[in-house]
Amino acid sequence: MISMPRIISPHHAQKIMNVVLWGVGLLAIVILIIIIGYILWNGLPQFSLEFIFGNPVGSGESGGIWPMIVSTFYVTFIALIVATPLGVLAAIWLAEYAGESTLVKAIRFAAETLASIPSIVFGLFGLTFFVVFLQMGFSVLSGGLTLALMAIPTILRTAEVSIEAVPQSYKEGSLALGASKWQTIYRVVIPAAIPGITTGIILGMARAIEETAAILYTVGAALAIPMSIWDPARPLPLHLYILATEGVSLPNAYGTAAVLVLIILIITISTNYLVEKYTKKMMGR
Amino acid sequence: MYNVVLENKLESLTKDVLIYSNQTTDRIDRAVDSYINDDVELARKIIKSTDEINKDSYNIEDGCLKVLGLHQPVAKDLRMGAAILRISIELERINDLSAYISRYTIDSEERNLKIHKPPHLMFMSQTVQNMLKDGVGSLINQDLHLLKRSTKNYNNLQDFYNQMFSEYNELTHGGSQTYLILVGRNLLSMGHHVMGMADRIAYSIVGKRVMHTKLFHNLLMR
Amino acid sequence: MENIIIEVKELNTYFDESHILKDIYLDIPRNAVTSLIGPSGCGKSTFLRTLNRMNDVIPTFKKEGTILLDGKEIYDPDVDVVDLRKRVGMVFQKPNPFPKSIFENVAYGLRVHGNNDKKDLERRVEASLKEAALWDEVKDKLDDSAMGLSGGQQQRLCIARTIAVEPEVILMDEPCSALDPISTTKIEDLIHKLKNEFTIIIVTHNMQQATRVSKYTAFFLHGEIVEKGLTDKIFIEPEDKRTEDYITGRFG
Repeated sequence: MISMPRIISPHHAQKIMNVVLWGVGLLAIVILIIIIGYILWNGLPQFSLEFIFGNPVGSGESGGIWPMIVSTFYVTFIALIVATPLGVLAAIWLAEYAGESTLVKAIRFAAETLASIPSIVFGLFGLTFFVVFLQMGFSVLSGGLTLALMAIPTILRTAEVSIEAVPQSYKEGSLALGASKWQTIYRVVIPAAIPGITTGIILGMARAIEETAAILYTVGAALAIPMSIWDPARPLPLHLYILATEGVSLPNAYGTAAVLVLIILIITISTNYLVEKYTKKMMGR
Repeated sequence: MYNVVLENKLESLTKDVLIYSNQTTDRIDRAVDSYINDDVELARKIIKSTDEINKDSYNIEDGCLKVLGLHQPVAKDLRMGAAILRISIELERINDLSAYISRYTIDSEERNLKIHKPPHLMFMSQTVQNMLKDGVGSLINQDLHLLKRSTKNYNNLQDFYNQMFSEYNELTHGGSQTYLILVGRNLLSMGHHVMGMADRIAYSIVGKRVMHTKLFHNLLMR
Repeated sequence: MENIIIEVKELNTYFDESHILKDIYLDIPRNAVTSLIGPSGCGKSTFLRTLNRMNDVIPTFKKEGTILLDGKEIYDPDVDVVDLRKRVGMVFQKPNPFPKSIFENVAYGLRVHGNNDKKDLERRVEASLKEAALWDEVKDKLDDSAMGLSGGQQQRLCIARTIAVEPEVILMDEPCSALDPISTTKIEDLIHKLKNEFTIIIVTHNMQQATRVSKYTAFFLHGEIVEKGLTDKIFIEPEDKRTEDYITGRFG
């Protein structure tokens, strides 16, 4: 490396970087606060018992968004109960059993790629495969499964990294005590990787909740509360999209957005809190 | 971790032993000389300097304790440290015995009992000195041949003694006092060794050199 | 003649083409401490790990020769590795308690072997912690995370969880090298106590530790055993010059 002439002394460089880094960090927070604040500012005024728990009137110009809230939870729930076991078990396989053959490398690459594919592509796939080919129609099930496909790569990636990050020494200690490989995994490795795996699930869940494009093609747009997985539904992001773009009601759109933001905030904050408590208990500090 | 310090310490201790043993051989020579030549002056000098000379023994002993305790040597280094420790004690005893010989010089002069000076004494003195020189030399050079030469000389020593003894026996018409004195002599020597032991025991309990052998040197210095 | 619990005959081990252990013959006497000394990288740890088949997890590992535990070859196809590791436990160089509570750490081995009886576990955890001289220090905080203990305590915890499964042999791979002198002394005292009930094989770089703690010693050099026998003999009257040179520090 060619040595550069000293234009700035290390002392000054340090000070400058201090300011820059703090500035950028604060800027990120400020932007976040502005966005959330803006939505809440415009959306909270819509909040009323009727808005939250009532049914929409017309195509949503007034009334409530209760069915949309239910739809969101329903669809996300389906997505998670399908994606989590698949993602976590696949992560375990990749991290602990699969080895490093070319095939495995290819699988990893495929997972990475899937994680970046635009959601509308998943939507199209869901439409042709679940809705049409498997004849599930526009339903919670079609939507949930499509979202599951989107969530799996995220969960898998994060879970795999967390599992690989578990120190080898824990595994050795377990094996030396006479535990089998699987016992070691479910008694020591997974519990140690829980914080990371949980993060992965949250990220996967976030991808599912926020989804609009994939949902658009798979879940229909019904205004009623879905009663079973075969019913069509209208989760919040979709409702928001329709209200906004079809000019039905901008205030209600904000209200919907506010509900969405609050739901995500509550879930994220409480999960982080639980993970922190768990880590403290595990690590004693 | 290889300890250059340990090697240097052991080397310096062997040098100290060499110096101490040279002084010891010298004293044997002069003590016997003083007896043969009725040199009371010399005899008194020898007795007086015993304490001073034997300080070396304590110094060497301290050095060995340091090496053994602080460096925890093993194998050859350990055995070397232990050997040096033992040698210094034996040299100490030998120096005490040359003081005793000097005492006899003074006593026999005082009581005018100085007729009999057989040549065997000289031979014995020479032999013991050679044994000592060879013994210490074998330690320094790690030479088993030298050691053998030293131990073989004991036979000569014993022979000279036996010859001298039988001559003396004839002269005194084989009285039982001779054996009496021999036994007494040996017992007294044992006493000396026990005193040396006691000196070390006192040190191990108290941690300071509290019991010098000043007791019997005062005895000799009347 | 001492009662021998492990017999090693003509043991050779390889990692792919790399020949690590060469023609090892060693008898391990029961209820005694045997220490393995030698310069780094000379196969001592590999040897240790071969005794409880921890090397099985390395795909390039190959073993030739005989290792008998109580007369039975441990690499026989009908040997259950899980059972072997119950009989031959291991304590590692860096203390590696699980990120669980102190109680769960000690109970781990028992649970893994199917014991889930609360009362029984409590009794055995207490007994093991007492035997490992750790009970008094942790009895009021058994549910606290083991990661909050000091290094020396963690290592004693690892010993406690190993003895909880009642092994016959305990393998120790430089158990004190990551610890301060006082913790080291505590663990050496513990080893003195434990040898009455268990057979202990300890790898150590600390010559003084070997002399303090073990009755038998084997000196490994470049994958071979150069000299083996009573510790006292090896350290005071070694027979092989290479042994003498190593233990006096003239190389190593």
